[in-house]
Amino acid sequence: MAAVPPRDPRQSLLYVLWRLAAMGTGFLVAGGVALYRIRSGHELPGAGWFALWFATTAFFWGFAGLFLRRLALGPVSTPLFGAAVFGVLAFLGYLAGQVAAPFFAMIGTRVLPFVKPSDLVFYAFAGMTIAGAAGTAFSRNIIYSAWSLLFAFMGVAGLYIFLGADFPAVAQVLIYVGGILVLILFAIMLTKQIGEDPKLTNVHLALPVGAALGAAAVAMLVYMAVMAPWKTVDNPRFDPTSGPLGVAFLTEYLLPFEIASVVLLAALVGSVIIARKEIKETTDSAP
Amino acid sequence: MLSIGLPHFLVVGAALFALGIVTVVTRRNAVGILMGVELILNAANVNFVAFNHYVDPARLTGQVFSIFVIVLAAAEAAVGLAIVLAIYQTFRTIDVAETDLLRE
Amino acid sequence: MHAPIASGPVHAATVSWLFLIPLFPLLGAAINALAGAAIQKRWGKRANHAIAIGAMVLSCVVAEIAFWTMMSRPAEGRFFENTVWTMWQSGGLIVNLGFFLDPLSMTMTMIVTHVSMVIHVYSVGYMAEEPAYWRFFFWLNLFVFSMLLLVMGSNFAAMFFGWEGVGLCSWGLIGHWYQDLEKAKAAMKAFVVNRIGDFGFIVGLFILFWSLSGVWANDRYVPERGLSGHVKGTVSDAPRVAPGGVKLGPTLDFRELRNQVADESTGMAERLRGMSLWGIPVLALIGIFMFIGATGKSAQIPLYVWLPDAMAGPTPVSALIHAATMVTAGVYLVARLNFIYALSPHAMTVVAVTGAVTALFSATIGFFQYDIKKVLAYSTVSQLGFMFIGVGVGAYWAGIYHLMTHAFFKACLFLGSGSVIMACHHEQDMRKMGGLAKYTPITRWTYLVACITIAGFPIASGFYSKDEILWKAWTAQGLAVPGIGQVIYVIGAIAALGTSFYMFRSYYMTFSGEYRGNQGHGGDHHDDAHGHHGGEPHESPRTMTWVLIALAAASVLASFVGLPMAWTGKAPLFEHWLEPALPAQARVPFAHASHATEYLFQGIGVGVALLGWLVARLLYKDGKSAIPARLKAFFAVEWAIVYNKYYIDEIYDATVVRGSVALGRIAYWIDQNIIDGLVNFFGWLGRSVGYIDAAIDKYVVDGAVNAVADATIGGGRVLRRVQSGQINTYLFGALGGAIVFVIVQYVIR
Repeated sequence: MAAVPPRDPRQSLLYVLWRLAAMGTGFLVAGGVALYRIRSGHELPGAGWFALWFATTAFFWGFAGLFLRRLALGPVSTPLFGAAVFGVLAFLGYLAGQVAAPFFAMIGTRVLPFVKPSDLVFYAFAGMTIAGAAGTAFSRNIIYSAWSLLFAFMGVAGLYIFLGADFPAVAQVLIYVGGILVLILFAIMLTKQIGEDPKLTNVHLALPVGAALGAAAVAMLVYMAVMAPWKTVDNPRFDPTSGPLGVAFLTEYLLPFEIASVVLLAALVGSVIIARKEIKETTDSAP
Repeated sequence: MLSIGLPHFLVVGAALFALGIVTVVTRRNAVGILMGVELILNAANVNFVAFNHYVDPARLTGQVFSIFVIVLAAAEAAVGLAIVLAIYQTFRTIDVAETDLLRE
Repeated sequence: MHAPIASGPVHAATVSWLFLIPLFPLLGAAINALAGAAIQKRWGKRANHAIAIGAMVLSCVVAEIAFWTMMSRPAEGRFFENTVWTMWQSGGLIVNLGFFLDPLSMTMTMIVTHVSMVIHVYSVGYMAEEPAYWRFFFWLNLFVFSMLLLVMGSNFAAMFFGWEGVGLCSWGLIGHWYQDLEKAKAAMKAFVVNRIGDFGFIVGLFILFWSLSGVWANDRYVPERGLSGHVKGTVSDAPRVAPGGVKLGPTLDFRELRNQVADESTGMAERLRGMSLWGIPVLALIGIFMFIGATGKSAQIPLYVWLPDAMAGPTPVSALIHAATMVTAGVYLVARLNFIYALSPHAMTVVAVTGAVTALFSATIGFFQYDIKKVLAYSTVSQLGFMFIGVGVGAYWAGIYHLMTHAFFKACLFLGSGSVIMACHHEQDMRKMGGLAKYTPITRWTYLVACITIAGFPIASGFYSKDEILWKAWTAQGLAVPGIGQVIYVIGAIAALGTSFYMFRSYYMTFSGEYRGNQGHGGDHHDDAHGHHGGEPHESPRTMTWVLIALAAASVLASFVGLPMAWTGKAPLFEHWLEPALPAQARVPFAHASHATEYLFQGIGVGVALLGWLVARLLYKDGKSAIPARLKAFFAVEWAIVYNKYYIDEIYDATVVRGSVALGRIAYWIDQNIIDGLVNFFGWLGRSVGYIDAAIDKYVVDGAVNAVADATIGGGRVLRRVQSGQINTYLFGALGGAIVFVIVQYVIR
């Protein structure tokens, strides 16, 4: 109808003010009607519906004028658009109130008694773990893989808590996240070429083959896990484990403990040697 | 929906294991492969601890094992990443598709 | 007839030096064969003939010793044997190299050694200018060896060895001048025709051997019948023994054969008489087949054709082989088997009739021949016919007597003709001779004596032998056809007439009248070893003439051993001498006739001889008569037929020879195409198998090997990809393998 309104600073200010006023008016009217409905508890009369339509139209006119400038609104199209928007909103409101709400209420009365909050938390942690692992497996960016690994580790730590293994949980966080993940990130950073496209550093190789292998593995293990008649304790106890673990390390599992420490020493020395020599050689060969 | 029991944890462990395998087999980045290895070790750990909790909570065999696994995973990650650095020094890349000097 | 000697088994005394008689000529032959040419070159021809004649002299000496030893024994003891070596023994067949002397073979041995010796001496003069002197004496000695083996052999095998040997030596001697194609052909003809006869000999021998074993009778196999008459189970090789201790069964030994068959008490003769093969009596078959062998060797119809051609050889050869010795082998064979022939009238008839026909037939051919040697050759055939008449009708000793006298006079005739030929400078055509009486007197007189002998005048031995034969033919009763003896007599008498005629014809043509040959060549002076100049005939050297005299004397003196009983009242010495060896002699029936009849026939014989002489004298003396030419012109066609030997040779050539050659060609074709084709086919098969094999080897085997290699390479190429160097692949393998293992474990469990 009319051309796009000019962006003259003086005219636009006024323009904006008018639109904002319209949006405010609509908002207020809608609010008033809503308050009336809630306070009185009656069904809305026709006047109320009209008032809502008016509010919607006013709001829409203001909104469109500010954000949808291309939309040319005249004296005829404005009420029509308003009616359309109002109709959509009324429909959505009907759906939410009359259809969805009773459904969810029904489910809630059926399921909620069985759902314990702890189960939900478990599922959340399990989901985080698996999602993190999936991210590690399928992400194209190596940094994203490392971050997903973080979530996987954290999820596993949460699962440990669920299993009453408090010390392992904390050890998991400390060592895995704090040590290994950091080490991984160091390695990633140290082995990056400058100018390298990060997206291309983590390309997959024969993804279907690997996926098949993984599918086979998970199928077998899940089948075993579900079908095997595990002899489980009914109400497992949640004792603190730090003390008993310490005792166990120094009595029953003393030898593995000492050997583990030797292994750590060897790993320490070895990794230093492995990583160090190469650097020396390249510096020697540098011109 | 059942209440959370041993199979749930085992399934999680299985999923972690599978995803770890996928990572190991499909990744071209050497560090990515090590990440997959870590996932596998974690899966094993989850199994250990789950069994320990549900089968014999009085004794701590599973948890002890899981501690050891963590320790060794750390050692292995250290050495592995040192090797990755060495590979990087030699090949200037850690794309394992490029490090095929052993190929026939 | 006199009482037969005891017909018991004959036992022979072992005389260990009999083998020397044939050994000396064999040694002489060996020396001359191996070193003769060298010896001749080094020491001259004298050395060669010294060796040969020395060998003959030694042989004669040993034969004389044997003869006088035999004479000193009583009649039953005149059997010597000397088995040198058993060559081969298989089952009942025993072949020895053995020598057996009884009066018959002693006679033959004496004739062979002595006549051969004098002919050797004659050859010194006759072959004086022959370059291959050593070869001649080699063959002569070898011939004597073979002939001695033939007559002295104690069994058929040794005899046959000699039989073949004389055929071979005859070939070698006839073909002495083999460079001349005609002479070589003549030698081959002699040998081939002989071989045809030998086939008959072999077949007869086989049948004889066979029949003694009892396998055949009337075309059916019969088990052996024991002497007691009951039938035994199966044929066995075990020798059976007759009650008299005589070994029965198949044998090749003459003495054993004679002991079995000649003695009636063994029953073998009876059995043989009863056997027949394909409807023909076995004894007749044996006799006829053996006689076929004899016709080959002794030149009777139908196998006489080689003898006239054999005149191509040197004259001493003709004298020795084709007069005195080799051709008599057939007669000797029949005489040796007298007990077999005596059992079979059919065989006897065949022999006698063939002899008679041959005698007449070849006598007629001899009428018109111009070559002096051909005349003598046909005369030999004719006289052999007489000998076969003798042994055919059963007068075995008479046949052998005629053999002996014939040896002397025929050798004398041949050697005389040789002397004549030599005198006429190798001219053999009688038309070019004549008047030689004054040039070669010794030859002339000896030739005349020999002619008188052959014609049959009583002053020489030929009359006695021929007359005996003809008389026995007339009185023969043992022949298959009654009356055929008389027919044979008539034929023989006509043949005797012919004999007398053509012999005297040759005498008059050669020695009487004027010399018609080439006289003086004018400027053509060639001195040869005889040293004669010009063309005039001259007498032969002493080595030759002395031999002629000796033989002429022998042919006269031989009459004394054959004087007929009608004259002396006793059996002729010769008949008595041969009696132990001829057991069948007594059993052949002859008609009894009075002495008067015998005198009559003797007179007929003399008359026939006279008639022949007179006609010949009339026609040919001095060559003046024109009658021969007129008769010849008148009977031109008949004359041509007879002159050309009745075209027998041509008929043989067209039928037998061509047929054999065609057969040979067919056999050759079969061999080349079918047999060789078969062989080639199998060779091709083998080669094809080889090709297939090679193809298999190349494509299948090598292909398999290559395929294995390729598979390995391919497999390697594929499996190499495992070593990708990609860590992911290795990890995939490890993990995947572990998972698969677990799954499989799970599934299996």
